[in-house]
Amino acid sequence: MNIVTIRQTARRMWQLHSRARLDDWIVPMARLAQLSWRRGLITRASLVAGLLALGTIRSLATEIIGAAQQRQESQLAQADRERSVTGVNTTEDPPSALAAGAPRRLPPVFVQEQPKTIGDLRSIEHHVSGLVTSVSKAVVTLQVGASTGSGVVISPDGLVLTVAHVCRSPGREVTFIFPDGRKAKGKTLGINHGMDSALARITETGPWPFTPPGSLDQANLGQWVLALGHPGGFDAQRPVVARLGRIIRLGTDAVQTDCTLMAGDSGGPLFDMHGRVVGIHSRISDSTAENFHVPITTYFATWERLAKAENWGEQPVLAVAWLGTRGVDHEDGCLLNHVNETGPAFKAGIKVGDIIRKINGQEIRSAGEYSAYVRKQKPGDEVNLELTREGKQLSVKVKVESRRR
Amino acid sequence: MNTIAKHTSPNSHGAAASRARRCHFNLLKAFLIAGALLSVAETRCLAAASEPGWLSKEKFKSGADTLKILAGISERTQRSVVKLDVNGNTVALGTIIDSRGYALTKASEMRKGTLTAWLADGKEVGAVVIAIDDESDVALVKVNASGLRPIEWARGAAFVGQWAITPGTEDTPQAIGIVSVPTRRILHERALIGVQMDFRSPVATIAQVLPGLGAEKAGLKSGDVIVSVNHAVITDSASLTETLRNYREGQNVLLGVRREKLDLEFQVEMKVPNTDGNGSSPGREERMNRLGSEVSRRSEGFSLAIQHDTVLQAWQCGGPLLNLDGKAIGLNIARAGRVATYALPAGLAQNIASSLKARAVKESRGDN
Repeated sequence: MNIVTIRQTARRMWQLHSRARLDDWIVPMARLAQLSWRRGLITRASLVAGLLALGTIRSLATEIIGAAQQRQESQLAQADRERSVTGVNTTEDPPSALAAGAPRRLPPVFVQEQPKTIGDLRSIEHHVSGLVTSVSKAVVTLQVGASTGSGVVISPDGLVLTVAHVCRSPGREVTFIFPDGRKAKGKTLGINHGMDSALARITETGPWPFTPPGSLDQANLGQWVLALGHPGGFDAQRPVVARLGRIIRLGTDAVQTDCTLMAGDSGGPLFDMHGRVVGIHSRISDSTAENFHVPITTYFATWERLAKAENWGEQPVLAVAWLGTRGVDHEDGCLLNHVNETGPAFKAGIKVGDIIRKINGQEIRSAGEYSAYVRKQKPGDEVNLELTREGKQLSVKVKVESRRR
Repeated sequence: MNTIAKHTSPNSHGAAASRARRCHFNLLKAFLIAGALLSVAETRCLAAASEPGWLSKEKFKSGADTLKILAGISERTQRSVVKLDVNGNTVALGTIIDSRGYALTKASEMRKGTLTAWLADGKEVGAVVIAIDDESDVALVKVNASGLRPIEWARGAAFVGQWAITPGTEDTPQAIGIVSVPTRRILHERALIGVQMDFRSPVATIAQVLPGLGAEKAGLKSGDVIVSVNHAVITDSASLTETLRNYREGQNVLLGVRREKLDLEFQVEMKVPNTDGNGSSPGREERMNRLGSEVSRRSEGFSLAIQHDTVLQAWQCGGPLLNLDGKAIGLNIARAGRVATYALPAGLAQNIASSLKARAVKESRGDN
């Protein structure tokens, strides 16, 4: 047995296993919802519901945006993924900003620390409206398997910057849709899961509308930026959606702006006022000022690996406090309807049907309050659960574990 | 179903009662301010502790420093805006369209209860809902005050990249953003007749009738071929889907159906299927959409709307949306998600205003 078949078998087993586990608790849920569709539909619906539910459970501070539709991938897409990518062999130099000629002088308001007058705002307005017209033609929608996101073409022969969580792996087939509705076929190239950066290319013959990449070397806090993309996925009735903002933080891991982003924007471009790509939309968090973009710098620092369709890096692990329980609202607190057998709650003797009344002395009034309280704990902490089991009051100590999301 | 109740001015309340309420309000205000100060202090600490390289909040696109530039516009428009409360909770802003106190606002926020209006000078006066345009979700309100100034409407279409200012009754605007998408129609949430189509068939053949929706109640069967919707010809499944997209929940459509050799007609009610069961857990995308601000209860289905990226709360809709000249390019009609606020364009808002006013006049004559 060679390595590939071992890997495939292992993956297949994992799939079967995880699917069985999903069905365990979703089918009763589907019944609850009184779905009386065909059996096939139930299974599909339950898988979708399961994925959505899992998504909800994994709710955390930072949220990966992007895939507007998170449907279960088809077997085909899965097979595609397993084929892996030795077939693509691209080595080319990154397109350079210089190719576009020297940047034009910007209106003075963009070098000021802060606009001071209505005239300054008018100057921004005039410049930005022109910019949207000139760069939006290079903004594309990507359809990769069952997920969709955005991207930006940076060379006339069709190299596209996007993010890892839309592409997921190298060598997958992509359909690119331009704002005018034109479609083109292509492939995903290199993926860096750690930074969430990814490269793709249109394989049909160009030239394609493009906009050159820029640089963050001279970037400042407060610099004005324009975000384009397809929030919510491609919509033929709606052109590319424009948002304006300023750079709030410049990190090596991410650029943060107040250009609001949404699912479907993932992979879309962040432009400087010269119309050059300086970031790629990646993640959002609770506040509307927490929008994170992959810095353009990382694409060029790893250009060779991206062009060679390498697949590397891991999604950063965020340790999440975890007891391994799920519950629903109950008049006395939170009624547990699921206890994970590998979780710390199970090990401490917590059972399905237990009603959690208090954690560490704090009263719990709903399932939401319960999970919010758990999430606020640190892995390693011990929590005291006061609960009702078959009419009896109990108190159980559980050590909080962590789980990657 | 009309959930809006008409109410008279609360001025009839005793002076003592109103003083007591004002006192409560001041207490509440003090709490809010204290809370705000604390939270500001907290954020500052966080920012300072973690990294020095943060842009200060005042310099954000819609931060205090940017809004300060627009004080002149606020000064000119603050008497054209009212803040509307129902039973003491602010539910919307209103746009003054007439010096006698007529205002437009967001109809679906006018819940049952006592309606009052806060003016720029800090006074609270009575207000009454006069007429409603359900289609556009606009209500005409009469505010019991004089000295109000009708908003000036802008001419010409809004353009992408244009600044879009949402003023309030204060000295600086509520928030600012830019126009994100050219004016377009916003469809209603997709409503269904409740059939699954046979996509292999060259015509619009029903594969299966879904339980609990309109088609089943009307008596459609699998194998039926749909040939028309409200007399518009349907050629295949795709054209059926496209045509039905124009109808919203609760509307009836007349389906022309061919069953074997018979031509039949069915009246079918459109429905939005309840996908999330008990409604307690919104989907992942929906949850993301709500991150950072609450979405309006009615946020879809407008014949024309400007989409802008201003971050507003649901209660900040109903007021005008201004350009840099301080003229209204639209009327904020819905907070639609994390990246989108919708405004009815000025032309449409003006048309709605005159037809609502005409209706109100007609109705008041009828009463006499």
